[in-house]
Amino acid sequence: MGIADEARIEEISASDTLLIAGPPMTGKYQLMLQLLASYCDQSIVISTKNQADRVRKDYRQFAGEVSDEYIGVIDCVSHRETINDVEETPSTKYVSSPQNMTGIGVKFTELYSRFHDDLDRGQTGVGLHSISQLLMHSDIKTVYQFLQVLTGQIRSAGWMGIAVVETAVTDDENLQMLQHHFDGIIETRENDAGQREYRIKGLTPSASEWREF
Amino acid sequence: MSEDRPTILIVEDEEELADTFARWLESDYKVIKVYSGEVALQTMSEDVDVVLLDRRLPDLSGGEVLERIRDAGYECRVAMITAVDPDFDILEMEFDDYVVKPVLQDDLFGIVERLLALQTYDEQVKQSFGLASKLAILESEKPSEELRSNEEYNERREELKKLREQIDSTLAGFEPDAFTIAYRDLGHGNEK
Repeated sequence: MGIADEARIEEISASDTLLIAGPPMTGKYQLMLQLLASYCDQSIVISTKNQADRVRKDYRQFAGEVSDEYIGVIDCVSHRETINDVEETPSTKYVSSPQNMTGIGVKFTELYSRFHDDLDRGQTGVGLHSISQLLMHSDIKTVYQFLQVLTGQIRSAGWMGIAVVETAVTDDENLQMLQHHFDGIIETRENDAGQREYRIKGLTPSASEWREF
Repeated sequence: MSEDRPTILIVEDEEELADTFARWLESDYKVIKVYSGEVALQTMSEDVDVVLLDRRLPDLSGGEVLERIRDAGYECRVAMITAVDPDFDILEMEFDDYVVKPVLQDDLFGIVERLLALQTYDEQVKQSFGLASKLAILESEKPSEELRSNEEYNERREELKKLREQIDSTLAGFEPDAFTIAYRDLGHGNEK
């Protein structure tokens, strides 16, 4: 499992905002969690595909034993929305749908305050899985604006940010526009031998070579 | 926003209070003060950047004035002036912020500055989206070798880069409340 051994990538630093882009089944979600677990001591994941419990379980595969409170999750997939926060915990928030980016942002800001002011385990990272789900429910302009606030908020705190996008279902033009919000792009693919590979663009003058992981 | 100083509209029927606010703010901003809801609506214009709006006015409620400002399509920021801490009812209304009386000069400036920063941010993001769209269209129309030597393309890229640095700088000054307002703004004014 190449990347797990040297979990950190030479070009990447803990305060970068990155976009992981590639076709389906090329390890993007795994790579996102792996990077968060390697560079950060506590993380917040905005999840439009997996429920909170599943996200924490997957994160722990790379981070080892970490208590729930240091893995914040904004769960947009369980379709739960409570007004009086009965089911929400300090680290788990629910938003009814990926369409509700205002809700995602407001809940994220609650976790942002908590992780910024109260938790002090170390560097914080934020994962967004995935931008494509957001684009399925909203127009590009609103998603662009949402990502502007989100990545700006992350950068203002000096945190790491990693978002995932499925290239197969995203317009090239939309992809081009959203790239501006990120310091670097990690492209993923499966090579002819069926091995997963990644390469990095944007952090250094020229793109890296393709590397197996 | 007009090119010179930002414009603040004060709507407050307690005349002494309105005059005090105006005196404080005049040093840095263009200030208009009115003492009733109807006059406020007559005075509203595209040039107004921030409205400080009393919750209780003799003719219309603050909430009604706010609704009519929004219906008319003005995108200024509006802060409610109130003597009581906002409760849930008030939070239902779409004010951007609250001025709770009595308020200190520094605090009033803080609120106005925060709202102006949000206005600036709004305009910058709209511009940035416009530029990013143009670039994306050029990128889809021309091969990258051609783009690298295309003057217009390179100039726009530089422009966007500078704009993005300004945006990051604006956001770096935001407190959590300001981010919340920015998220609540999402989608406003976007065509369907």
